[in-house]
Amino acid sequence: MSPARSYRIATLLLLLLSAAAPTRAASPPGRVVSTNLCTDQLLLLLADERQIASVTHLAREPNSSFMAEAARGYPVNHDRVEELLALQPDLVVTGGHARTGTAALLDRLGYRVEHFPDAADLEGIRANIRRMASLLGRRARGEAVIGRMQRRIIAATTALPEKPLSALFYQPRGYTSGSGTLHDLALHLSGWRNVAAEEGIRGFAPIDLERVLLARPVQLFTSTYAPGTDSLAQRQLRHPALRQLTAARPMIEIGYRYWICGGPMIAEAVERLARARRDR
Amino acid sequence: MSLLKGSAVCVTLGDHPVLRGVDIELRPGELLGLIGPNGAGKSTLLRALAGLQTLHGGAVALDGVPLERNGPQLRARAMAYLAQNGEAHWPIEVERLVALGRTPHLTPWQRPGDKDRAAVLRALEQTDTLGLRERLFTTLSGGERMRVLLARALAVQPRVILADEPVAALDPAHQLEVMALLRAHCEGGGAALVVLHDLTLGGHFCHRLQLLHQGRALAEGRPDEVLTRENLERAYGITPTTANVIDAFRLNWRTHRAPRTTD
Amino acid sequence: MSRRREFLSAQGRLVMLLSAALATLFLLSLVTGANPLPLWRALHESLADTPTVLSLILTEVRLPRSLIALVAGASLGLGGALLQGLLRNPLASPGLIGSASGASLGAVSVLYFGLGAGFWAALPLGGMSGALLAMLLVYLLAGRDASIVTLILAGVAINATMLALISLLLNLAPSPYAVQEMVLWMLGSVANHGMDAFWIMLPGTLLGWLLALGSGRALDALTLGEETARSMGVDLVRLRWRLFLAVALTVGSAVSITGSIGFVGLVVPHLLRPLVGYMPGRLLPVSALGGGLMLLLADMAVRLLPAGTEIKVGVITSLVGAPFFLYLILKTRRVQP
Repeated sequence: MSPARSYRIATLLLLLLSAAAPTRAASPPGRVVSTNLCTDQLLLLLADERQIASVTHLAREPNSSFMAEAARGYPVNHDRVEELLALQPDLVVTGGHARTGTAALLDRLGYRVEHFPDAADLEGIRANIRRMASLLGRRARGEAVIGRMQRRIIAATTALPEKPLSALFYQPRGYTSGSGTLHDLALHLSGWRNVAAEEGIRGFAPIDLERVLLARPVQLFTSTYAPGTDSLAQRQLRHPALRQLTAARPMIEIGYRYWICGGPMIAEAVERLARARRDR
Repeated sequence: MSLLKGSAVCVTLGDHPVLRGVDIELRPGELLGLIGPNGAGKSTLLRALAGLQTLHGGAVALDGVPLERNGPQLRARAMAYLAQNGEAHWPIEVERLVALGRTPHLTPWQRPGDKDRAAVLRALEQTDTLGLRERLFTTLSGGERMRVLLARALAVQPRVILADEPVAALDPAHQLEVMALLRAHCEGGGAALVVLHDLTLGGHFCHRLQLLHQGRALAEGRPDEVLTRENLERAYGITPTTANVIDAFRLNWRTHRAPRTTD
Repeated sequence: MSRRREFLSAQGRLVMLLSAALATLFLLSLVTGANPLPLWRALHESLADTPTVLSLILTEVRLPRSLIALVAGASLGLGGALLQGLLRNPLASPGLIGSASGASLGAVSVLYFGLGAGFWAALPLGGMSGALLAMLLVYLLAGRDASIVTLILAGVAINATMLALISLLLNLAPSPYAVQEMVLWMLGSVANHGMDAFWIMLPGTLLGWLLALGSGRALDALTLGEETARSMGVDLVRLRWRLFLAVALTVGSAVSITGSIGFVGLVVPHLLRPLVGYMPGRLLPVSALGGGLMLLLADMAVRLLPAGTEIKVGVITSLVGAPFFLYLILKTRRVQP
């Protein structure tokens, strides 16, 4: 059995074996405000609609948000203190790399602030879903979401061709997603090798066009934001030197909103990547 | 027949009328001194005659042909203009600077030929600057600079030299040298119009003087005809203390330096 | 006078030497990069019918990059020499006189807002008009016989305005990537272009070079000041327009592709001026060659930096140029109190 395949199976087994963590019972909050796109989506996915006091304006933006449709019905905020105070939240959920100034301020003012770290693997995604569900007092809903995500991933990735093929996410400005990214995770799950990770690139970093050409990935993927607009960054994807690579297999666009936050939408990204692998 | 002639020249700078209908005439072989108090319009008249100043009235003619009909190239070959406080913006070699005088004779791509080199050499010799030719212009003394700039004007091989206060910054010996050079140019068949503040030098070297006052020609003629008690009083507000007016402007000294040798 | 003949051939020798250095560096630039490129094999494969990876790297990555660096550098070097000669001011340069930032503004307004979309020349045309506009503004602001200080101040004012407008436009641009590209327009880069970008910048550049041709003698005459130059038959008004247009065309074309690359137009003419006896006319070809040399060299340095870093070539030229600029200011201050 090839190493890539055993990696895939090990991941799937972990998925199935993972059990719900015990959480304390408390009266569920009734006015939850989210100040971050990632917590927006978790909130919209898990909460009872009466619990949601506000989500960020980004949550309504279809390019970034998976829950744009669902977000329509709720007041939006722009992560400004005055706005948030006026909403009189009993729970503020936020995310990102570090606590923003606003959330830290609310924390000092005595509001209950919960910070969610970025998830870059399935374990992190599950942990975030469980934590949010538990905060909202909707653990069953959380488990259901996790279960559906895992079933979709398994369904998409069984019966994939044995041999993983090389692939690369080529992003605007000539960036790529190396090891430790959601892209890397999804590529591995769906029968691809991530050339960027093999080239030693970690995280989101620029990759030399020459290295892309020399590595000759079988398939190029991209996840651009706001397609249809023009910038030098986006023009990079149409570099003439790439034409030879993309002539036989055009670059496949897998939207930005799948990757901006770790969440159950990863299942849909994996489905699309696996379909590309099967079509190969 | 006049070589260069200005008729009823009027120039207004801003709202200020600087020249109010001046007639001036430069004949071949003549050194004409343009004198007058500060602000009389001497430099403006010189620039007008050189074609560097837009006229608001009157006309300037070279060889009887209106200046604007002469064509810039022809005009530039016939007349050399020596600006006041002339200087070079880059530290270039003297010989190259003098060679710039050949500009009117060359098309943009034409290389200087034997004729051009001969003209430059002659100008260097005439102004006694042959020994300076490899020096950088910026390292020269004031007197040396003036002679080099004059050499540049001579290298044009013009018929007319228009010089704006060429001796203003020079010591007496160099003043004599430069004036003698200009005079020599005229005696060789050319002509020169020189703006002067020094009436003594004007009286001594110029064939004729023209006195400007408040934008008008007050007097014109031989030095003893122009430098009269009445004119001096009116234009400059000065009164000669000698019994005979022209005696006040006699050149009572001479240079020990032999002309045209390297110092 | 044999000495003068010698002079001419000294200039000829200098031009030959710089050309040879440029040709060598250009070839070196084709084999320089993160990955070794066997040039001969790549060249051989480029001539074959089906493109290979090696030939692609050569013809679609390194060739355009090197050509763009060469041509943009030459335009900046030439632009600096033209402006310094015309304004008789050692601090005049495309960067300082506003043409580079103006060109950036022009290119930015075309690129991000889809103006003239589909028209190949829209981008360089935007750059050219921006460059011309900014230069005229600086010129009008500073006045004709501007002192060095006035010129710098006018340049600073116009540059700041242009940068503010670029920043505003990039923020308003529909593409979310636009804002991140501020750095590129401010510092400049020759990386990540294909041959199409080179072909786009070429016509305006060549036209500008043509316009500048034969202006050397007039610039030489200007050494003696505007009045004296005019008295020697130089049509100053025409010369000024012609050279402004030349700089706008060349710098506008280059900057619309590369962003404004700083200090090349300032440093190169300055370093080379003593070698041509300070003659503004002779400086023109020499400075163009030197500009190409400097930008190629800077870009090669960028390419040799470790992978995963993203340093723009303008960072290198500015790192070299800014201290030099300070030195120049100190020097001029000593000469002109």
